[in-house]
Amino acid sequence: MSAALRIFLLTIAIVFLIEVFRLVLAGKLQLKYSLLWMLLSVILMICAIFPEVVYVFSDCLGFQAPSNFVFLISIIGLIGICLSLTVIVSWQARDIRFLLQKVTLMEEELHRDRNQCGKKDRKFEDLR
Amino acid sequence: MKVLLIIPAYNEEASILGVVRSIERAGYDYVVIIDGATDRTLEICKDNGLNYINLPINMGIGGAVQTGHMYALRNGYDIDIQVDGDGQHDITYVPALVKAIQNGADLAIGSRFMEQTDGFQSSSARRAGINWLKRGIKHVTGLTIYDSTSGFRASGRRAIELFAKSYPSDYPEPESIVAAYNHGLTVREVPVKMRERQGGKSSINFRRSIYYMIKVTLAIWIEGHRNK
Repeated sequence: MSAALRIFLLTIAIVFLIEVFRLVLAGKLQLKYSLLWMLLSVILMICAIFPEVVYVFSDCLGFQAPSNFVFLISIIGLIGICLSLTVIVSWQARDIRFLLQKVTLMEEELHRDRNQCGKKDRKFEDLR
Repeated sequence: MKVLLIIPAYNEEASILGVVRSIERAGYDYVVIIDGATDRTLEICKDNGLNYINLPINMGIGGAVQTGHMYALRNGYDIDIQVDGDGQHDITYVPALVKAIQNGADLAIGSRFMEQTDGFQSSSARRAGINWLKRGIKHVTGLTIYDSTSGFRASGRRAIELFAKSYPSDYPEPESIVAAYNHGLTVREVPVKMRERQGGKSSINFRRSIYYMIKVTLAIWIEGHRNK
């Protein structure tokens, strides 16, 4: 990997990590969901600072250029984060559905109670 | 001083009734916060006429405890005390926690490690983790909190107001101490003895402990750098 690529990678990773921390500090991103992003930036930093690690792996796996291996790592990282996002969306969809059902049932019960109360009141007035 | 005991309970069918009965015998107000239980915890609370709030979806301990703080605030309690639903916490220490609040603390943590006791002290691995958190909290706040993961804690009015507004979601105990400090609240520790849990499972199993340590360490660090 060229020095230029390493410096570029390192800069991107640092800027990205700072931005992730800033979002967590501002309360716009939950720490729980920021961990994978932090992990990805740290891995990219390691690649930029210790390219020997990248060379060993890319040789073993037969990559033509070590930089390709770094790109593959990034893509795998992104796929992993995408998968975790769809898992989170699925939880949320399930929870929202359940909450909607719960609210609707409660509303129905409330109406039924109100209607019954109303009828009783009227009866009471009739008697008077 | 109106005192409320908040009992967050996920799946505590084995222990919840015993915990509540001991609280009733001691004469405290309490509310059980059932956190989307999948066992018979809700039925037990219903059948025995306990005072409970049932969260329809599991929110995690942070959301459950925060619901308790909201309940305390709405009902005008001066002090609320979080007590686990698994019987680990000995409610004979409640007066000591109340006293700490009356003496000026906003948040009083029931601590296992302040003095050598014959009570339950957790495994050595967990103690090492708690010790690490002690150093982290010391680093960002200067406070020495021996048992930051303790879920046996009393909140005064100001802490109730803060926590009702914002409370961390998962593994909230150490993080909430730093948050309280950041908002200018006084945090104190009170020595207590704990028992081993009488039923149910710890929310933190062996496999999750690494994740727990990384997350809580980052949370303390980030919380420590808020408003600075």
